[in-house]
Amino acid sequence: MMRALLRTIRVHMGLSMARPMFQFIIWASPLFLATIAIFIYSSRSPEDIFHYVILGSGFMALWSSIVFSSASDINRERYYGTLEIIFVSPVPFFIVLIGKIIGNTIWGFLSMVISFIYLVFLFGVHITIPNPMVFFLCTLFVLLALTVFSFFLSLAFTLSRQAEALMNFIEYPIYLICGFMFPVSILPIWVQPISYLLPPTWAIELLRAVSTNEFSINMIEKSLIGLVVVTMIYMVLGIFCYRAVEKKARISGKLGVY
Amino acid sequence: MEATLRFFRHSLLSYRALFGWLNPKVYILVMVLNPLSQLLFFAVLVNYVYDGKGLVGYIGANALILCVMSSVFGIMTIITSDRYMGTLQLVMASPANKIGLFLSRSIAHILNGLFTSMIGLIFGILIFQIKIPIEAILPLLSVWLVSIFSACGLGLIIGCFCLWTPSMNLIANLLASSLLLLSGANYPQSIMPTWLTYVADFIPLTRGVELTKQILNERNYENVVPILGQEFLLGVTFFIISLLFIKYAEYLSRIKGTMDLD
Repeated sequence: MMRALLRTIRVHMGLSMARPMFQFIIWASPLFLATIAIFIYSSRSPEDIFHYVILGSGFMALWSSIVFSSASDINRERYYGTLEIIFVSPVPFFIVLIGKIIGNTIWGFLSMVISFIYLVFLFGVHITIPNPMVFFLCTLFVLLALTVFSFFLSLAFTLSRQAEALMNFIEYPIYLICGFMFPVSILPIWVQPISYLLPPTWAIELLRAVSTNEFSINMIEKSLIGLVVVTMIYMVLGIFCYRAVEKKARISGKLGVY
Repeated sequence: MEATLRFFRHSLLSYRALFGWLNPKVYILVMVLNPLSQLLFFAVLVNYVYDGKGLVGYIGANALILCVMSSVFGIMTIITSDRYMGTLQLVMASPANKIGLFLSRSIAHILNGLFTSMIGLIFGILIFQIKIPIEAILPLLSVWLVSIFSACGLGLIIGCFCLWTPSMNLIANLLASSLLLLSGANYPQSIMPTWLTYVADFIPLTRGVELTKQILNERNYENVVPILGQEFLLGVTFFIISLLFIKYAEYLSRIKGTMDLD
């Protein structure tokens, strides 16, 4: 099982990168977004620049890799006519799916790192992380939470006929609602509950909390618990969606069509 | 008269052929809701960072930038959709005047870009409760029309690249991101490094964004005519270059027979 997962990650990373659009999302788009963000935030404090430019543009890169790949990978297999073959192969379908998502998340994370290096070396942005070990552990947890969210999105999109249009639509609204480049607190009060239903909001708040100068464990408690709770919710929703997709395949026989 | 009517009829037909088969829901998501969410994101961002200073100008500039959906992605389809459907050879071999043909096909996308930008501005006015003076509307529309014309010229040049490369999505997205970055829609041009401002001078929408900010923030109309003249010249140059590209591709296709091949 582990071998199948690792192989899927490897093959999928290669397949994703073969698409020119994915190359743009991973290599070029984060640099454009980071440059726009640094120009906008040029007069703000180094801490604001780290929180809203480095983390913000990094999260945008990560989110784009999720939206334009993980969320649409099943649909892509459906378009190629290979979905049924993957589904009936001896390796469980969810292993293949998780492998694809991990592959995309690794690319998204690399893209985040590239944008980080670009800002540090080209624009001389100062990095202040009081506790690098905690920051690293939180980053790992954030990646895990986003993998779970991608798993749900990928399956939910498989069930929707409008997947492609939705895929093109949910990029900027998530940047906005999840407060990638500004605090969620500036959004209208009725939008904020929606923000906190989405894992990226908690994820970026956790990384901001862990990288503030006056960092203490109490400061990350709220965002850490929030992220754990929403991740659990999306894990349950993901399992429901997986069963629905399975039913569609085995009972309705409509996996390859809508 | 008949020739003029044919020009506009072709423009309408070409546009309907592009969007006629699409589900209206997809059109609304891609051409209306997606651009509006982009505008909302940048408007909230600049409002937060600049504390509301110059917000009207930034909303206007961001509304203008929304035309990229038509002036890059839409206009690209003038050539790519024919090529994809295998009808490009027929179009190129027909005795019709190619300059008139591609110009007429561009008209609908210029107007569509103007429509998307106007929807964006109205949306921004309603959401952020901002006011625009009545006397600013006409100069603003002229600035936008000429800027979008110029952007469509560059979009058509990029569209020609499909005759040589299969990576059109990559190129179109690079251009759209460059326009967003270089136009200075979300920050003062003075923040950009000098060498980047030189590049921006040769990019459409830079002047349009600057004029939009001057009109909406400072009520300054003095620069409209001279700067708009430059933008118009830039647009005409782009269209001439794109038509030369099409001519060259036509020539290559005659001697190599590769018009429909990558």
